[in-house]
Amino acid sequence: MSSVVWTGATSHVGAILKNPDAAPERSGELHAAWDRMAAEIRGARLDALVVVATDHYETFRLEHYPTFCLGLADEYEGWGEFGNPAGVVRGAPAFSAGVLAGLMERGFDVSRSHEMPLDHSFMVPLVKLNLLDVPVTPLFLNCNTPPLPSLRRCHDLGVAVRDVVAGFPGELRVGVLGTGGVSHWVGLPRFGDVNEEWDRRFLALLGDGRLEEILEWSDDDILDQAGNGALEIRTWILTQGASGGPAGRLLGYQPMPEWSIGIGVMAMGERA
Amino acid sequence: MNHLMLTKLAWALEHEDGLLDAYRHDPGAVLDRFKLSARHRQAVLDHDAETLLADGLNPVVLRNLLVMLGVPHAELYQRDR
Repeated sequence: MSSVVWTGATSHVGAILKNPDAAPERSGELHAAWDRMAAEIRGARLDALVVVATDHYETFRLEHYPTFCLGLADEYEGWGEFGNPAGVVRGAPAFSAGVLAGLMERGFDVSRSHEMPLDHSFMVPLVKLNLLDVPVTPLFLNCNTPPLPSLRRCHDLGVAVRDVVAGFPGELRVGVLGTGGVSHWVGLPRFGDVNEEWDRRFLALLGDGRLEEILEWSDDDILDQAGNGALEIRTWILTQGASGGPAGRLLGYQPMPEWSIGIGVMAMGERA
Repeated sequence: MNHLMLTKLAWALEHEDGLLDAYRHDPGAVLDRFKLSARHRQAVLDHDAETLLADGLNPVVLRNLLVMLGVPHAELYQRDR
């Protein structure tokens, strides 16, 4: 039986690659956490990896702005915007098409793209975790252009992804990786701030399997307390929905004002 | 319409070959290609992040636009820059 065998989430800020040695007393723990995450993913022997991320007005702009969009391409080019990684990511077009059909059957009217260049929200984690050789299905999620999909809708979409994968013939081994957050402010006067207390509360709730409490949060409160970048926790919540388990396992967290963000690294679907 | 045009401008400056150099040489001529209000045209020329944000431009677009024009992300709202 096909199944989702690995799920997890982490941040995607370009500074992870552009300035990796900043504050080594804290970034060192994060690099070790990413190494553990990369080893877990490699050990899961994935046939396909669904990467749940957003876009920063590189691929999707006001001419066409989907809420959810699945990539169906043979391969994907990285934009390489602002010094972030370029390069080519291998696609999983048949798998992507099956996921699209399955989601539509389950009431999720997801858009599709046969040419979907990827910005740093996809490319940084793929490069950092050494995943460029894994067949990828990118799932774009609107995290920065209101109105945003509700947190609960994102969770339900993740549950549907897991269900769709289980219906694939054969014994496909699928991973789901969410990218974004945690607290940070993009293009706003508070750029550079980190709300460590908020980050740790979010990660603790996820880790303890108390997702329902997070699903009650309003975007206004998230924006006020943790910045517009924290609205990207949608990718984590969708991934949690796909995990099939009630909890997450924190691999690492550090406030990184040197990178203008709080960084989290979490595997999901397992109790600590 | 203005937010659409500001978004188009930000993307074009980043991705359209030669446009950033053209802007540096003659910003007015480049801005003529985009249907901006007089207020937003001046805000772009002045690197005026406060006005663009107050008028509702998406902060991600605002960041992309002004960073392309040479303003560091950390200095977008520094009035003495």
